[in-house]
Amino acid sequence: MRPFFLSFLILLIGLSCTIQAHADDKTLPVDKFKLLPILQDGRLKPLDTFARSELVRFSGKHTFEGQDASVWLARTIFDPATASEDKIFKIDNADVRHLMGLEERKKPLYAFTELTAGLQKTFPTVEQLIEQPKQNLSTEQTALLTVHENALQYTQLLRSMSLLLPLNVDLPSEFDDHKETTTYLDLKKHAIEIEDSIRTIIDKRGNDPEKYSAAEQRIAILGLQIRTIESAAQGNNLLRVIPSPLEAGDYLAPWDLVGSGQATWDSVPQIALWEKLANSWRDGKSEDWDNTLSGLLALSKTDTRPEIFYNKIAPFQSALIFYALSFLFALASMTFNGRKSLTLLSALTALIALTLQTSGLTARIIILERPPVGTLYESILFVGTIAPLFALLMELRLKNILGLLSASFMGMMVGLLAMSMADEGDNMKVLTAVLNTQFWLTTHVLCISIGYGWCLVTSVIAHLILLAQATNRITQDAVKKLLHSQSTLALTALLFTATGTILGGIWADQSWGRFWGWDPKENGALLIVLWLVWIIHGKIAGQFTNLQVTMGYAFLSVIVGTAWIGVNLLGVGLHSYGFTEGLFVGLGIFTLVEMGLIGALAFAITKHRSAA
Amino acid sequence: MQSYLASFLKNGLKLGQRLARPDILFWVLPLMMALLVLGTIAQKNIGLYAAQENYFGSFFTMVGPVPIPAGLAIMGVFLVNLLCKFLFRSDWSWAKSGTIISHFGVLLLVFGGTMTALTSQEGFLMVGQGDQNNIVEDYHSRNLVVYDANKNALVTVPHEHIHDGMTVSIPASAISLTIDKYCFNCSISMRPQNEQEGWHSPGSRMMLNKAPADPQDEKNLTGIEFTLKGAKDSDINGKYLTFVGFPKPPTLDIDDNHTLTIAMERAKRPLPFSVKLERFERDLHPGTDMASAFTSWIEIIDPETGNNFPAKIEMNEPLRYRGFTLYQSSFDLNGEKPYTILAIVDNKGRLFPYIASILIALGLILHLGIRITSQRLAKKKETAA
Amino acid sequence: MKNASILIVFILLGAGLTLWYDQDTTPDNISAKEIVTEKNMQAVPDFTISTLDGKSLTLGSLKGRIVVLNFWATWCAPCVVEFPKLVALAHANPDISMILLSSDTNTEAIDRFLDKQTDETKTYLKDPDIAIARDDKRKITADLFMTYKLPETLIINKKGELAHKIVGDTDWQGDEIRTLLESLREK
Repeated sequence: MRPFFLSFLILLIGLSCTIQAHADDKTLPVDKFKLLPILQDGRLKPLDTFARSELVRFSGKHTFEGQDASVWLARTIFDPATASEDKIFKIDNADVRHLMGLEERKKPLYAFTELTAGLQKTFPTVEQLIEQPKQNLSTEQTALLTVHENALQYTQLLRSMSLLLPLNVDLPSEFDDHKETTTYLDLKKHAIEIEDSIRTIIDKRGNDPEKYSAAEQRIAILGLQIRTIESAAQGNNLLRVIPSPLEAGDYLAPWDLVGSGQATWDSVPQIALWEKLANSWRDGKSEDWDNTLSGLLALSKTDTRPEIFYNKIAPFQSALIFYALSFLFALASMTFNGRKSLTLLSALTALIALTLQTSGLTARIIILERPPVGTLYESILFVGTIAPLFALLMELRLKNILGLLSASFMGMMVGLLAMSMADEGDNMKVLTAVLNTQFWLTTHVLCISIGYGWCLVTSVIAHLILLAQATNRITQDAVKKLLHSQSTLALTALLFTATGTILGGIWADQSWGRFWGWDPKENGALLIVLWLVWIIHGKIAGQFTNLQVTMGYAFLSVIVGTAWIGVNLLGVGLHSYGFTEGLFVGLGIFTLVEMGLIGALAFAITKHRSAA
Repeated sequence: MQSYLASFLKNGLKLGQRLARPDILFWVLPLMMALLVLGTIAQKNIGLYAAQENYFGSFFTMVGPVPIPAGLAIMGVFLVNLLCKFLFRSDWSWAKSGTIISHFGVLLLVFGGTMTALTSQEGFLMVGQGDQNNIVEDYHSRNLVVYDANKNALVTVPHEHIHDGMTVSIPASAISLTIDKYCFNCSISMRPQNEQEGWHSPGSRMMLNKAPADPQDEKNLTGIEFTLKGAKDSDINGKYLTFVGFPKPPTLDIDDNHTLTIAMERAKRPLPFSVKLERFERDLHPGTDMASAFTSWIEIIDPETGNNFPAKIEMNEPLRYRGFTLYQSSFDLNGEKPYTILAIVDNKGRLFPYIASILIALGLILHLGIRITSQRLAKKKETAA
Repeated sequence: MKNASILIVFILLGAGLTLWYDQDTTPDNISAKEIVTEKNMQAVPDFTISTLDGKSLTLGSLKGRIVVLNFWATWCAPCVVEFPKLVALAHANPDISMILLSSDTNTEAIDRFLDKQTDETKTYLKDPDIAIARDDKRKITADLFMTYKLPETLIINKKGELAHKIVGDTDWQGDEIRTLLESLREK
């Protein structure tokens, strides 16, 4: 980190002096541009995903002033001088705004050019902050650090193509290749001669440029420009869009390709196409732009269209809306004593949501080329799909709208949870070696996730039973029937969680030779199993009344929440998927609310009974 | 005599039936869950290994000043309860077959777990590319070992038994060691100038300090500082230090016949065969430092059976040979040549979970199936009537 | 008691199965040597140079030989250090053709540099398989091969495909190079 920050000042200064600005509002269609593959975090993805995640990182949004993220990206890399005026940096922290001397605005969005002064001013502070461990930093300090990191990332983006963009240079005739535009790469070819000439000039006239002739000054400036562009692009490896000619599967950023010596004759057409692409964007030549993109796409062997499709329809967010609709219809149907049309409408919307989710999961399988559950976020997506599915299956059997109600409710809740968990931008991650596709891991994770799904259905049904009894809206006979379904659901949940837990052990045995290690994830899964076993046996042995059993099943939601998400908060263990602080508070509140709710319902029920 | 036996059997059966009662389970399960939660939270502070030992691998543990029953005690009661229930209170009917099979699966699981706990041995084997090795080192046990010139161990003291002030005498000699300082986890620092007297190199320059144990047990650097007495050559008497992984443990020529090496090391045991590392490979996800695969290309050299064969060990794809399982665990690429670190596990109970999970799942499916069909039948009867 | 005997039978069965499973499995035979990852070989584009002694040389004419193509310059310190080693390598391996392509701006600099070499190197340089040339305006180095950093070396196999690229200097007498050349000879 440190050397990056040290070169940061140089970067700030060296930015706009050389590359030609190009002010033109006209934008070209980016449909093909977004398809271009880029390698980031070990995964080849379309520029669309890259542009979105970068823009979200800076501004918290997927679009920029109504423009597609890819338009913003194209401008940023091809026309950096113009792009640096884009107000994309969202600085929420008032202290940081004050510290950086930024004016207050309705929306705290700032352009890079507005930040530079503040960045320089706070640079010494940041230099000290990066020496300290992250957990010791205050909110403001972390926010300041984030601004600097984002700005650094942004400068990398701005300069990622600077070696093939036209320069504002005054070429002495001996170095003029008579090209329309001159780029760094053109200059670099003459770098040796230029250096030679500068050496001769210094030998002849000394170090003071004042004493040089006009022609000599031009050469000296040219030398300085080459060096400035070069040093500003040090370590610029963000935009990995050019396939490495030496290492199959690897992609390199243009600067990295040239700087690391990884280029061969194979890179020449690639670089030429990107240069042409940059020029056609800058000149607004849509035909050239389109042809060049076709040329680049023809060179790439990966099909990124499924991911574009996934980004476009955002299946899980869209499903959330349909579940909300379905929930409303189901409620309305209940109020109007089960009107057929409303029930059908509710079922239809729930089915649309389910279809969206299923296609989303399928797309993820195709894109990532692995089973759909590898991270905590993905497990939420998966459970959010299968839990409503199970509830709908139950509706098919019971036909009393309760299944629909539970399905849409769970779809909404788990969907919201997923949205809060989706960290900024790209949430498709490659997995570490130990989590890489393997039969036992896949079956374990799928089995346990299905178990979570059944647990949630059981919990929701238990809630509904409690609610119906507390409000006295249900006959004893109906309660009996529901209690029976509830027991069946719980047994199914036990089947999947128990098998899934043991399969987890088998996976561990297969992977590193110990069946059970009391790892938090394992303990969490076991906790659910024990809870289910406890309630089921308590009921059989007669220690629990029916009401207590239902309460126990209702509380499964908290047990599942703790085992599934809570153990990840501990941040220990082999397969903790991630650490999220806000969730800890959320989980605490959820537990308290559930305790209060279940307690209150039970209290109401016993009161009814004693009154009766 | 016969009546005595009969009454014994009768009382035994009675006791068995009492022990089989479900209320025992009803109280054991909450305890188990509480322990599970406590043991999991404790991992954050004391680490996985210590939490495992304290909460799940012992009979009692302390929560503050209060002793509570720990894993072994609770599991013991659970096992007795389940076994008695299975033997004395099972309803051997078709309708209950699912339950019986599931319960039997759980019994097998616990039985296999016991077998694993009693017999399994874990350790690691480190081999450099082109080298051959058959010595498995333990992850957790460390020993103080005194070797003679022929590398025979004269004295071996497990680390749990070492404490400050203890004296270790070397058999058949007048030599003794007094442990001045023992640290399970040592930090190393410079020894101040004024404290260097009486120390032999390198102890005259460096010193060991007691440090808090690392949550990851493998990371603890165990070492001792000791005083050697009884050598005829008084130059040899004096203070020394040694620790696990120390490349040059003190080696002393006591007299013409005696050369002693005093080392702290991980407990070692030999495999009945050797592993030769042909090549180690690490594949990265393109453009990252994140590994997508580790592979050791090895050769097994088994002098006992004369079986020599090449094999491949990958992350998630272990090699099983003669009851041992060799897993790709870690590696070291910092040195001149790559080293692979293989986890070696010898576990006689490892097939039990496989059988148990099949039985539990089968039993539950059977139970659910019977439940649903009997409900259907009842419904049909109802409507028919 | 019947129940107990069933239990015991099952447990014995499990134990027996474990032992049988562990003892009986003979691992699949895989040889480490068999699996050498085949790299994607690409044909190196053809070019023609005129060597310092005035001869014209085309890369394509060297098919069937191992070619070492080295980009260097007299002002590049690591290049200057590895220059005699490369010459010695070519001399020691008669099946190698060595092309030393300089980025210098004038031939005089190269002549001066060659003059300063040891007698041994000078003798080796008479070897017809060693070609030294100046790349005028870096047409081959930069335009064709996109080489901007010196030294870089391409090792080309007998079929005219790129077998290995070395960025920066390397130990030309080392094991790695020896193994590489050995493997190129086999094919």
